[in-house]
Amino acid sequence: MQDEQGLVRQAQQGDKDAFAELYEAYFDKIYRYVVLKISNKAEAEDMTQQVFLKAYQSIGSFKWKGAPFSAWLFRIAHNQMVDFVRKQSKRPTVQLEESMVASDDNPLRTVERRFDIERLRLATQQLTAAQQEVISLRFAGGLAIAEVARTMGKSEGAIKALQHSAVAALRKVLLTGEEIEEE
Amino acid sequence: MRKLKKNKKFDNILDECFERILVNDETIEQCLERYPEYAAELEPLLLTATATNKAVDIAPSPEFKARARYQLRVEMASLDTKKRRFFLTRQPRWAVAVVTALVVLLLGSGTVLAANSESTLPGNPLYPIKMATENVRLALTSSDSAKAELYATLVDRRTSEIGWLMDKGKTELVEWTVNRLKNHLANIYNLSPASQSTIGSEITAGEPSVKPAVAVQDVAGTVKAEERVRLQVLWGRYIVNHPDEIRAMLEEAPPSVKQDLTRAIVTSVNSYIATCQEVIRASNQSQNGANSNGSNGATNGSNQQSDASDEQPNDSNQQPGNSNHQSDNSGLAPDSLDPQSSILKQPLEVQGMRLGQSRGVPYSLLNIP
Repeated sequence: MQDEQGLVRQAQQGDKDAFAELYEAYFDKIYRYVVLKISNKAEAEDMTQQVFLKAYQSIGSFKWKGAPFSAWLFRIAHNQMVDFVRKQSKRPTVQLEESMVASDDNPLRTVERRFDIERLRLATQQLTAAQQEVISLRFAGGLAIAEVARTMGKSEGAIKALQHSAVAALRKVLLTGEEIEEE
Repeated sequence: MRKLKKNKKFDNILDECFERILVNDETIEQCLERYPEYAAELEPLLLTATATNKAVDIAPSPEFKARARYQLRVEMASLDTKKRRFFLTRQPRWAVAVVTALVVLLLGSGTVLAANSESTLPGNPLYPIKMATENVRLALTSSDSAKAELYATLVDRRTSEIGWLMDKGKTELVEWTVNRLKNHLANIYNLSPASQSTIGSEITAGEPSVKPAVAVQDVAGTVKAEERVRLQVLWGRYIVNHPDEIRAMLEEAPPSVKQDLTRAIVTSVNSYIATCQEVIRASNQSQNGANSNGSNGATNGSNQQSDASDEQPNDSNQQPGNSNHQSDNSGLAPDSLDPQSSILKQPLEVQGMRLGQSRGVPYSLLNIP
């Protein structure tokens, strides 16, 4: 792919081909990011399209101020998602209780065996909003720590700490789920 | 304080391991060996991260991707149309007055806006008004490349209308829309620089009149280099994208419209290739003319025409879709209706240039103008 900065500049000048390249580069990542948050396939697809339409409409306003294009794009996705969630009825959340977290002799085998996107989605919903965002951006969006930091407006150190706590919390939730299922 | 530092160090190690495993395909064991003192703490987190990464490793379906690309292309064209509409309001007063008078006298502004909407489709009572509005916009567009781009937008509209008609089972209107699409293609071809030198504007009888392209004159002197490049890019893109879209429709089309769609593909491919060839040739002639610095009269318009005569089709063969024009240079099949024809399937190449590709990304995959 051509230099991303050059492509963005061209896209800002109305070059649809340049935007098309950016679109191709990020489409799957944005889709994964969205799918991790929206279970309904049609809604997830619609949301993915909306993100790029919004990006095309507002790419003229994007400015290189140290933040990469990816951070800008994922911020659009995040904002779209916030709007979407606001419109949806809130799902009841279940507090994670330490007492429910059981040890497992071989957690990997159990977790990997039953782990899929739906299970991951439900598990991440038990995390804090910031932890969810780190998991979504880092693993689904495939962003580097620096990009996640730019997207979330935090320092890299803070994001690394958040990533640590998010993965640890996710693990607890997953193991809890295993425990409940086995009962 | 010490604990804070230790946590920070661990966060860094954990992130490094994520990078090594998720990006560089290292194994968990390799990471654990690298940091044996943290192995017990690292392992469960790395296992969870690996499992998470596998769970989200899902790709959108090809159908969705194709649909999304198409939708984006339509939306981008629509946005551009709106921008151009805004630009039209900045035209000289006389142009605004003419348009306003037309609108007020004939139709009423609200009706026109409604008619010009993307949702006004063939069969709708407002559709003829939409056609009239398109003609007004064409008449107010002065530069050839801008006009060609507008035609390209109209090609998109017709293509999506054909898709809509097929979805709704209104096959009786498909043929009419395909014919209109073909006329847009014909007009794009007629606007190509070299075709102007011999054929002017050629429009099928019964179709809306469009201002002819500029009169016969020296192409190299008339068409600016940057405009040629824009035209080249435009044609190169459409030559692959547009037929691809109709090809996709062809697969699901009822038998009654397959022939019309097949004809549209052949016309489309032939038209775009012809146009692209002309643009490239005009560009080459321009360069040759500049190199010779006029010493042999190569830049003279009349000489250009005669130089081009070997490649230019006869007047009778000018209609896009005419195979005689194509066969020498592109090796394309004639305007056959055989759905198995290579023209319906093969990637296209003109004068060594793989059309529809730029920056290494095939437009057939992008489907975005």
